[in-house]
Amino acid sequence: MNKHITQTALLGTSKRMLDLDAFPASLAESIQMIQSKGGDPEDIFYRATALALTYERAGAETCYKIAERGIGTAGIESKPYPTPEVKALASSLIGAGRVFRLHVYRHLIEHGYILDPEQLAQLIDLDRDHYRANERLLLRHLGGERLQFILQTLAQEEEHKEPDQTLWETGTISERKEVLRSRRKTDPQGAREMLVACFKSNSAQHREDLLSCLEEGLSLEDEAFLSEVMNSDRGAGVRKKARELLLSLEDSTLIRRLGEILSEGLHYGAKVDNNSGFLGRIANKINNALKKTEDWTYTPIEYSDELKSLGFMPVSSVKGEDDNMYLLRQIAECMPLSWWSKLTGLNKAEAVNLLTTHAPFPIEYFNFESAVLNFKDSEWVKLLFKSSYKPKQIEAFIGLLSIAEREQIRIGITETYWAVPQEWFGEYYEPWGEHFSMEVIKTIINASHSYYSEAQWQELALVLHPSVCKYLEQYFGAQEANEGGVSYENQYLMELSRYISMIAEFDKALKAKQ
Amino acid sequence: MILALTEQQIDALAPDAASIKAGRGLATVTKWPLLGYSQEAIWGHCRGSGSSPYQTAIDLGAMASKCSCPSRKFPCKHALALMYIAVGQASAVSESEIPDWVATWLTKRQQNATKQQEKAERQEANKPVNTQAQAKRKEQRHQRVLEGIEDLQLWLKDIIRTGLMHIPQPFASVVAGMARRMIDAQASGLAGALYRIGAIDLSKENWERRLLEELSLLYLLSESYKHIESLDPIWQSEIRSLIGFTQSKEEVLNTGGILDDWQVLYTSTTEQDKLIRTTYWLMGYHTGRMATYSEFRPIHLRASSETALLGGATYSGTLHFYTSVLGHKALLGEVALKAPHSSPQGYRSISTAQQAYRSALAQQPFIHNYPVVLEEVYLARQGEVWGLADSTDTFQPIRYNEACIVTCLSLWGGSAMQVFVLATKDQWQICATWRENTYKSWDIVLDDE
Repeated sequence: MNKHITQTALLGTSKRMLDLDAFPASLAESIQMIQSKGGDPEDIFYRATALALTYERAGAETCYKIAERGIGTAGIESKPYPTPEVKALASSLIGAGRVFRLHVYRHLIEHGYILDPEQLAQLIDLDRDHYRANERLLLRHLGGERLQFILQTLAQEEEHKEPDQTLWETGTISERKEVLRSRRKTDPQGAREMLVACFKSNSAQHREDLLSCLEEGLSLEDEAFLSEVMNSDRGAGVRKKARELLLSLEDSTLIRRLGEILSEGLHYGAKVDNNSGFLGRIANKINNALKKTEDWTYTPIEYSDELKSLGFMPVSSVKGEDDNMYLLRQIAECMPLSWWSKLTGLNKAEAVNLLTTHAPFPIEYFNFESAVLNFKDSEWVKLLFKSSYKPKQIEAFIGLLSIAEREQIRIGITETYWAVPQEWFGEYYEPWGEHFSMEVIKTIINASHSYYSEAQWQELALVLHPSVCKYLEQYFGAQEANEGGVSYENQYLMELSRYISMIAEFDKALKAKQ
Repeated sequence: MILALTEQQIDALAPDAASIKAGRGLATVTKWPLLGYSQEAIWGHCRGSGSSPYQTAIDLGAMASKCSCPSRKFPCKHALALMYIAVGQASAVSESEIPDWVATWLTKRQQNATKQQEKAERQEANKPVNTQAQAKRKEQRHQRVLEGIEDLQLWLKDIIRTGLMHIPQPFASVVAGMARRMIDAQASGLAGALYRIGAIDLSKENWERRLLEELSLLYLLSESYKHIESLDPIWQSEIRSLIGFTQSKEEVLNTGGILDDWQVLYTSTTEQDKLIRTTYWLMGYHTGRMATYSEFRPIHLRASSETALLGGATYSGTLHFYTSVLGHKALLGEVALKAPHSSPQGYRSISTAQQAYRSALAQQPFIHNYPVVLEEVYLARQGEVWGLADSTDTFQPIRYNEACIVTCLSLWGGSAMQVFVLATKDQWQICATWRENTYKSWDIVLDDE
C-alpha cells in the first residue's frame, strides 16, 4: 500500500491514479466514503493517504522481543560516597574551574571516596574535549565500578587508561613522551630500557625529545647510556642534550673529569708567582690584574679537543675578559658546591660565602647560579639565602626549596609587574607555610596584580595559608577607612580570600569525616 | 527540608552561567554571618566588599528573592548562594523568627499581589462587552481562515498533481511563503504545520513518506475546518485549536480545574518567529492525569517568564483543562512549589505504553508524539541500536544523544530506571530521568509539540 501511495505521489496524480483497491480490506468502508464525497483526484489522494498512513502509525508495532539486553549492570561499589557536606563543597569548587577540580579529585581520592552517581553524571556530562589526560585518569579513580561499567559499555576505556605500550609503539611523539615520563616516575630503569631499545630508530629531533624525558628521575644509573649517546650519536642536538643531562649529575664521570681539568687551572690559597715561560708570564699578568681575587690564582689550561667536544668555547665575548679566564669560567660554572668545598678546603657554608664575596671571577658575569639550578641543589640555595647575597634567579631558587625551608627566607622581590612563578606551586600544590604565604601576599599587594588570570588566583588559593585571609581582611578594612572603598585591583584579592575560605572549608569537611 | 529543590534546579533559575559560578562560590557558610529560615522564607546576611553585609531573602511560596546588593541580575548571586546553602548545607541554617526586614518585604509582596488581583478584577468588571462586535470579528476571522484554506488546498493539490519529483525549489522558501499566507489568514496553526513541512530534509532516506504524511494531515486538517459545524463540540474545539484559534483563558480558568500535586516531567523551549515558546509536561501525582502547558513570550523578554516551572519539581495547585480530544492541554491556576513526592508513576510494560500511544493516535491522528512515563525499564542495546527494555525483554528503540546514554548509565548503572519519553511512530525520544533527588533532562529536537 505504502509503495503504491509513494509512487503515485512521486509521479503525480495527473500521471497516475491512486489504486484504492490496493488498500487493506479493513479500510474499505472508509475508502468508499471518501470516494462517495465526489472530490477531485487530489482530494481523494490526500484523504486516502491520511487515512492509510494514520492507520499504519496506529497499528505499527515498533517494539519487539530481544534475546538479551546487551549491557549488564555496574558492579557493587567498595568505596564510600562523600558526605552531603563534602559533596556540596566539592560541587562548588568543581564548578569554579579546572584548578579546583583537580584539587577536589585528588583530595577525594586521598580520602578514599568515589563520586556518587549524580556527581559522576554531572562530571561526565562535561564536554570530553575539556578534559586533559591527567584529569581523565583522576576521574577514572573516582568513578568506581560505575565508571568502569560506562567505559566498557561505550567501548571508551582507552581514553581513561594509563598510557601504555601500544601507545609507545604507535603514538605521536607527544604521546610517546607522555608514556616515557609517566613510566620514569614509577620505573626509571624500565623506562630507560624502553628508550634504549628503540632509540636509534628515531629521527634526531625525536631522539632529542625523548632523551629530555630522562630528566625525570635522573640518576647515575643513566650515566652509561647518556655517555654513549654523548660520544657517539650522530645528531649534534642529541649529543648536546645528553651532555646537559650528564652535567646535571653531580657525581658523574663527566663532572669529575671537568673538576680535574679545572683544578689544573684554578687554585685557591696557593700563590703562583714568578712563573717562567710564556704561559707562566701570562699567569703572572693575570694574577696582577685580578687584585681583588688575590686568594685565587690561575694557571692557563689548554683548549683541548676534549673541551671542544664538550661544547666549551675558546674565545670570550666579554670585553676585557682573557680567553683563558673565559675557559676556566665556563668550566667553573658547571661545578657543584661539593667541588668548591673540596677545592677550597672549606665547608659548604664557607664555600658559599667565598663564592658570593670573593668569587674567582668577576661577579658581574660569573654565573654560578646556573650550577645551583642545574644540580637542583636546595642546600646551596639555603646557604645562599642565609648569606647576604642577593640571587639574580631568586624565583627559581625558591622553587627548589621545600615548603619548610621556605619558611626561613625572605622573598625580597620589589618588581612592579610580578607574577608568582609556576615552579613555586609544584605538581600537587602542596600548601605553603604561614610565613612564606605572608611574604607572597605582601609581594603581590606591592606589585600590580590585576592582570592575574582566574586560574592563577585559584592556584594561589590552593597553596596560601588560611591566615592570609585575616591579613587581607585587615588590609581591606584599612583601605576602606582611608579611601572609602576597596580598589578595583583589590577586588581580585577579595576573590582570592573567598577562594581560600572555600578550600579551607572543603579540606575541613574532608577531615571531619575521618 | 528547607527548600524543595535540587542543585540542578537552582542552576536552572540562574540568569546565566556566570551567576551559577558566582553563586556556588559564595555558598560557603563562613561568608554568611546570619542564616535563618521559616515556613515562608529563607534569609541571610552575606559579607560583601563594603562594611555592611548584603541582606538576602527568598520567598518560599513564590520563589522570589530580594537582595540589597547592587546587581541587576535576578536572582542575584547572593540569592542563588543562599539557595545552594539551604539545599546542600541545611544544617547551617536554623529555624528562627522572621527578622523585621524580611517580614516587611513579605507583607509588601502580599499587598502588591492582592492589589494587582483587585485591579485586574475591577478592569474585567468595568470592561464593556460588545457582543455584537465580538460576533462580527469572529465571523470575519472565520472567513479569512476559509479563504486561506482555499489557497492552501489549491497549493497542496498542485503539488500532488504535479508529483513530488517536481517539488518547487527551493522548497523551504516556497513553503515559508505559504506559511506567511496562513499567518495573514489568521491561521497560525496551519502556518506552524507548514514550517514543519519546510524543515523536512529532502535528502534523507524516506523523505517522501515523511512529506506525504505531513501534507495529507495538513489537507485533512484544513478540510476538517471547512466542515467544522458537522463535528462534535470536542472535535470543533480541537480543530480550532489546531488551526490557531485560542480558547479564552478566562473561560478555561472558570471551568472546574483539577487539584493535585503536579510533577513537572519535562520542559522544552523553542524559538520561532520572534517568539519563545516554553512547553511544560506535567503529571498529577494523585490523579495520574497528564497535562501540557505552553506559554509564549517575545524574544526580547527571553530572561523573564510568567511561570518558570522547574523540571523535576512538584507544584501543588489547580490546573484547568482546555476542551480537547486527548484532554492534555491545560492552563495553570494557582500553584506553589512543594516538597517533591517520589518519582512519578508510569507504565512498567513497554507494550502497554505503546498501546496507549497507538490508542491516542487512533483518537487524534494529528498528534506527533505522546507523553509517556516508564518505570522499571532498562537501557538496552541491540547491535548499534539503543533502546529501552522492560522485564519481559520487550525492546523499544529510542532516539537519543550520547549525553543522554552516559547520564542514564551514570545514574542508574544499567539497572531499572524511570524515564519520561515522547512516544512517536518509530523511535521514542528520551527526555528526562529521575533518581531519588536527582532529575536530569536533555535538550531534544522535537518534531512537534
